[in-house]
Amino acid sequence: MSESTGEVEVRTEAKSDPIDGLWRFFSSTKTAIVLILLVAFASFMGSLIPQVPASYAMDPVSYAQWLAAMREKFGAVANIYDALGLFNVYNVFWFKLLLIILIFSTIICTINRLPALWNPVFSPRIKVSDGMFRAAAIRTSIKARQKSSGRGIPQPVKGIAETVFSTLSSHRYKVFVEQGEGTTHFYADRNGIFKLGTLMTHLSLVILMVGAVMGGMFGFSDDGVVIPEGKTYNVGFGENFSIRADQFKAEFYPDGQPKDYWSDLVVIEGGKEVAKQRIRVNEPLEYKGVRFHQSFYGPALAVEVKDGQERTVFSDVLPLVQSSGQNAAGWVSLPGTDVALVASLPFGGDATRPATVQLFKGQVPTSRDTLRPGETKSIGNYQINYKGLKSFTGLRMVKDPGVPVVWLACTLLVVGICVTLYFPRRRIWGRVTAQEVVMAGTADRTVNFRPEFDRIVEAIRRV
Amino acid sequence: MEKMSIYLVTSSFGTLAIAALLYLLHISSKNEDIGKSATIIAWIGGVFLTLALVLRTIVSGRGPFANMYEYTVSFSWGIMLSYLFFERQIKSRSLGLLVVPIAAVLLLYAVSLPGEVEPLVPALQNNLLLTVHVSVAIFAYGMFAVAFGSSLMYLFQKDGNKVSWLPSADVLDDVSYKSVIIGVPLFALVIILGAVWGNVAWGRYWGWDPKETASLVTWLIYLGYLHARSVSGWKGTPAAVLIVIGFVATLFTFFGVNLFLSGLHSYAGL
Repeated sequence: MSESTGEVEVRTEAKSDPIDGLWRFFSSTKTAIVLILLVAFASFMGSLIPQVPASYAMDPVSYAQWLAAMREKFGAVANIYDALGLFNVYNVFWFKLLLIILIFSTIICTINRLPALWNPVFSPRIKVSDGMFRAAAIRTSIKARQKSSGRGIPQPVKGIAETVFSTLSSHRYKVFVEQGEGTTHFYADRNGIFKLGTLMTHLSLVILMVGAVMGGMFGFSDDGVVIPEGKTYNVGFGENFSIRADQFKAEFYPDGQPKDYWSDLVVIEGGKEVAKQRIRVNEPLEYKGVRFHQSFYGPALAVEVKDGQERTVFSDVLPLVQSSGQNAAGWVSLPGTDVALVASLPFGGDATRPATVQLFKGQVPTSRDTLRPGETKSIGNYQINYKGLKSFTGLRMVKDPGVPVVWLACTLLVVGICVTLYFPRRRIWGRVTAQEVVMAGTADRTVNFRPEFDRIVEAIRRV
Repeated sequence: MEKMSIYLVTSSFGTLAIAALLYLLHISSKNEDIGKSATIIAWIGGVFLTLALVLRTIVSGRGPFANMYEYTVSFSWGIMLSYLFFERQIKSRSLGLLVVPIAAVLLLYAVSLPGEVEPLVPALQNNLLLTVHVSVAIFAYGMFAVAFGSSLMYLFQKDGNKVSWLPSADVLDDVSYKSVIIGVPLFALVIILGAVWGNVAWGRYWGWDPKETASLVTWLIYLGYLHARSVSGWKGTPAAVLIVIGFVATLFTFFGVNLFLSGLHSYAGL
């Protein structure tokens, strides 16, 4: 903060060291503001332009399909968006680079300003030049009153100084004193310590990034955990427990809006049930730092498939995870064959509505039929038994050890902002001699300082 | 009671429209009595709005924050609260000329929306976070609306105090600053509470959802204003322009995201 007090350090090194140049570039507030605006602009584009869903972005084939849909919507512009990564702004390299540069700039700005923040708070300069007093926008000189005895003996310096200091203290200023020859120098500040709020704010941004990186490095997440009712899901990611979904239920309002849906989950570790919870959208299950969030749901079909020799090749619950038009669909490749079974079921309707089962050999559809629950039909060379309609629950599984760090950063951020905004600093330098008290003041730009300064001067005069 | 609440919203629209007219008359005629009645009627409008929201809260058993109708009425309430606070602070009614009509137009828009009490979808079924997250947002939005009003006036006033019936440029600049420094920490809190909720309901504290992103951008604009002001000493026109841009972003965050973009916050649509 370059205030017009003349006490700003002037750096004299004129070396054209590239590191020095970089340092100066990153420590400039202008650079920081430009970076913030760039990030803001990029994020803004990201909220205007449709973003590719994470699951499509990872798979080239689905991404190509998605891109084709965007070409229809935007025309040739879609290619430009694609080339610039604007369909996936938050994951594109230049956005990440921008964030890294912003963190870097925040760190350098903070380091660079440390002495400038620290010194005025804990070891301020008390004795300042005459020039500074002359240049100060707000200053005053109070002449000492002569004793009425007529002999013109000035009041003792010490007494005057005491008066000045106590007045400043009573206005909530912290006073620093340096004794000179016949002159007492002083410096007083109000809210000086709160200058460190800026430090807190910027530090909190760095901590925030640390928290985010911790999540990425030591955590994991999976948006698409699908568990059919009654089945057990192995957590993986180095965790040695599994999750069983006992039951899933959804309730709806008369207008068809979802009212509530929940899954009964059981945590199984070492063959034992170690935890049990009904999870809802706002009530996740947490076990050993891994959270399971209710995310989506859908139908699942209990199906048994026998081949020509009456051997069971498949008997399981098949979740219909995909949605195609008015239908939920799911597929499984029958073990030991090159045949895939695709099942679909219309959304809505009662539990006895028929499901469609279709067999594929490679990519080629071979035969299809519809079945109601409990029915067995022969489709192609297989006996297919649709045993019953069930549900699957879709969970988001996440482990993020960075979360507490993020909350710490958020707290520091808000406290830092409040401290910085609500406690602006005022500073007063002065000299007390036998003849006069000279005072000059300055304050953060956000304060209308003159009335306060005048009040203090008036208080000193009165004594 | 639900009907009553809707009638109260309609009457508060009428009341605030009259108040806005009186502010205009007061400012053009400089008649102190008209000014006083403008203030009284604005307060009455504010009381109507408060009653409407209280009734709605009683009927629905949760904060009035579940659909666009309720958001808009609450937004309008937040603006009136912030405005009436600053009217007392600066002892000038001229801000009312710009800010009260904003509140009235919002109510007009609300009246055009379906106003029935709707049940909550599962994602919103967290009474504590719903109430705190949205009500803090309402206060922040209100402050940003006041900052917008005073900055827009500043742009007419410029540095020379050209328009005699407006508050001086210094006062307007000061009001803008004061409302922004209340709004910015509040809005930071809104974003953080949103992150806390996102972490509980969706399993992530940040996901670049359109509403999240738009809020962040809005906040960054006001943060840019604060930096420009404290570090580079921006005052006057550029600072006022930044605040006007900030309010455009605020409106986009409030309406645009819910109405034009799909995302996890789109349940908040019509």
